[in-house]
Amino acid sequence: MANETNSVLEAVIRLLRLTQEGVLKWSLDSYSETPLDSHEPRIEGAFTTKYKATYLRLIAQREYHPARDVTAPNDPYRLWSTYSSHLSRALGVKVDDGKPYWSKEVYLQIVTEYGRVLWTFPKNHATHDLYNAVEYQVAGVNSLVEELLKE
Amino acid sequence: MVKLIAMWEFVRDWPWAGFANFASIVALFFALKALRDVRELRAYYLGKVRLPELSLVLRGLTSVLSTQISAFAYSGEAIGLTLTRIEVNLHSVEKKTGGRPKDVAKAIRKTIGKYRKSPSREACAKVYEALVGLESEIENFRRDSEWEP
Repeated sequence: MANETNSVLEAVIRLLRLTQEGVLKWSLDSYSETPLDSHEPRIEGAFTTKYKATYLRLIAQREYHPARDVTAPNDPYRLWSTYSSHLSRALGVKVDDGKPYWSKEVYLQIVTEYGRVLWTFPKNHATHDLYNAVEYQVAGVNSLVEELLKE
Repeated sequence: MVKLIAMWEFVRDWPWAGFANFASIVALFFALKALRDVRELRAYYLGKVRLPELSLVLRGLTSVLSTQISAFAYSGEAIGLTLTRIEVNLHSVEKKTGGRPKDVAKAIRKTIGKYRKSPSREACAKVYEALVGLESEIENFRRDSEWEP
């Protein structure tokens, strides 16, 4: 299982490298908007590419995490968890206080030509970096900088 | 001197002296309990907050490095600065961990040294790849760590 995870991670890193080198070209994909007042996952951006015969899609979405009770009865440190906000201030460290928050999740998927999802890659940090690299490429930052520097 | 001993015997034999002895035993009990709590608190922050914080910092720097590789032509000096920050955090990783993460952190510092000798996108990408590998190693270390409650 660990080897499989490593192989997937290496594959994502390879995709990242190909993207950074400009070998793999990505394009913007369409997605449906979610109402702003909803707590449903909200897609921020979607990109697609074709690597050899495989279609890949990369989506970033905001996901809502409701408030949690961090002082669970089986938590051996519930006394400290209760006073975590005071402790975090005193010790200068951030402690999970169980408040609701939105997180950004990035998913790399293998899709059909018509966009149907066949498989989603396991979550890993490299996928976030791949998404940043794709945004950078699609936004055309390099060409913009070159043009600005020429003027 | 005799008076002093007599006074001490008077105080010692007074009924509340027994209560004072009992109170001191109770105080000792609470002091030992507090000491245990402090040790637990230290373990809690070392195991659950400090190392995770360190991996968060490394994640941020790895992400920055990835963006800088995308803009490699324009970010030579910035990459140098990011790598210096990464090196500082790798030292902390070596201090806070052992075994595999420690070895990987050492190896990454060598890879950074190689990049410094001959900077190239390829060499920088190698540093990035190794850092992503280190993130997994730290996660595994945290999972197996004795600090975890």
